Amino acid sequence: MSMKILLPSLLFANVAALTTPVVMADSVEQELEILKAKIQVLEENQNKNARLFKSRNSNSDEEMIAFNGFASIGFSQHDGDDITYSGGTTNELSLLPNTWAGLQMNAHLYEGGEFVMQVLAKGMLTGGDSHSFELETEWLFFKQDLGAGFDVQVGRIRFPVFQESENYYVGNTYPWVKPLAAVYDVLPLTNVDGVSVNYLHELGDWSLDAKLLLWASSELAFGFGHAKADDIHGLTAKISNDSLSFRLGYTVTKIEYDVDSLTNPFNPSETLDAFSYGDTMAFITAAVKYDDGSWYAAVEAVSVDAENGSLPQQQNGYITLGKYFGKWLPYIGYAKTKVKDVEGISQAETEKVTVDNIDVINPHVPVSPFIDNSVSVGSLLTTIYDQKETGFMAGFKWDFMPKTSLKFQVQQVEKFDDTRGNFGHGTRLSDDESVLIYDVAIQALF
Amino acid sequence: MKKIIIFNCIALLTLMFSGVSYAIIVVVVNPENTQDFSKSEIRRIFLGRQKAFANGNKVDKFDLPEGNDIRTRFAEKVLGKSEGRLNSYWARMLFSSKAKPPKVLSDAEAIKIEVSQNLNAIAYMDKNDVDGSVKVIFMEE
Repeated sequence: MSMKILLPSLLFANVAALTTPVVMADSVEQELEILKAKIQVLEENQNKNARLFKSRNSNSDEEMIAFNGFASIGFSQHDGDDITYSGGTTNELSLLPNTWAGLQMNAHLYEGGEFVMQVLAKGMLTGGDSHSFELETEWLFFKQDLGAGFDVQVGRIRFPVFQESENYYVGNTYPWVKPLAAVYDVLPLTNVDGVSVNYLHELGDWSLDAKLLLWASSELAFGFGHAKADDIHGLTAKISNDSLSFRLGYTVTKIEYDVDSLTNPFNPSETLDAFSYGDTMAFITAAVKYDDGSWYAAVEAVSVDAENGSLPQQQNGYITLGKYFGKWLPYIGYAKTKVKDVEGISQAETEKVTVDNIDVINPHVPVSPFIDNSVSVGSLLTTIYDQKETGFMAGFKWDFMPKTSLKFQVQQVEKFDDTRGNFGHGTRLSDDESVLIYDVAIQALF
Repeated sequence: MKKIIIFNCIALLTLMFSGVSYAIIVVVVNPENTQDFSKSEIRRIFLGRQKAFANGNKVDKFDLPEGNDIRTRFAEKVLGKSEGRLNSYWARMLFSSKAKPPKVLSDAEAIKIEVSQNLNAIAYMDKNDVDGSVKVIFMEE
């Protein structure tokens, strides 16, 4: 091949070799730029769709299953004799009255449908001085949102008679170590099995919160037998704003007592034959609470009436006043437990129960004519439920950490008027006696 | 000497007061959310008493972590509750199954990501953290 052809060919080849990648690179770059633009458009569309999907399908509150809990660890002791106060407080230092823990599971089933379960471990007196910590199912219900502020709950629910009924064991929601016995021990039922309809309506800065207990029932074991509450119906309504609330409630229940191990209150050496007795009881409750972050005040009262007169009418209540100092809430309080018409009840023509002997007479309960070795059930039960007590208390709640509080309370109970006050059955205290009760606990949320 | 002393005093006072500037709390929603909100409505939403917007869409409310200064100020200035009272409020609502507290996000950046991607989201933050990805509907002075 001649040089004249070879050299230009070589030159051309080199130029071609050198310039071809540049030409190709320009094309590739253009293609890349076009592809990048297309990808960007696709990503923007995808993100927009994702936002729409997320908005339509997500609800930050509605995790599928959520667990929350509360706990209290504390001690209690009184300075009286060998008697037991409401909740298990004795004259020996004990964990029993102020120690419990609860775990709640909320399972979001579908939009508007939820399953709720709450289990509680707490100390229980098991006879004499023995006690144990037992696990109970406090709540177990299905909740369905009906719209327009209504929802329905079916299953085991807390008996919503009193202001703190639904958060009785959630110590961080009130200043005392636990809700006061004068009101909250009137009804020993803490949960019922039934159906309730709830309504929540906003009125500007005020809220109306109503609960209608359509039907419920429950069983309870006493120290001398057990009772079944049936056909429980009730209505509670609370109007509240950010700092003030007013609450009213009315609950009625049929109750059947099966008494099988009752000591004759008129003769402690005798155990009575088993008997049953039925009645209808009504509870009227009223409460006012004020809490603006500077002052705390709470007043609550309950009136209990038995239609057939098997139990005396009770009118109990408390008032608490506190002042916030940062994370501290010191408070003072007064509580009253009182029964009325004891003599009338004991004399009422209620059913009779056979007893062997009557040696000990309760001065407040004149025994119905002792005919054929029998006394009226009213006399027996009135003797048991004859309760009078006045309490003065002082204490504090200190939120020393988020969701954790230290609480202390000292309460002097007195003016028992020869009744048992809020101590156990069989106790009798005179007007001259008084007992100091000390409670301390650390209570937390988690 | 006198000038040095005066200068140092001025510098010291400037340093002292330079840290004393409170954040302005703003409530934010997705930029495509065109609804109007009053302070009372915002309070009802963040206290769980209103669960849907005026257009019927379910509210997704978000919170900052406990101990966060912005959260503390939002609770005090907008919700009217101290941290302790707010914890007590949510415990009462949660354990009586009436309402659930807002979902917690780590910081303002996480809030902006969530709110910008969720048409039904509502949250709060420091005004200085606001950018074009969120829309301010309320400002607490």
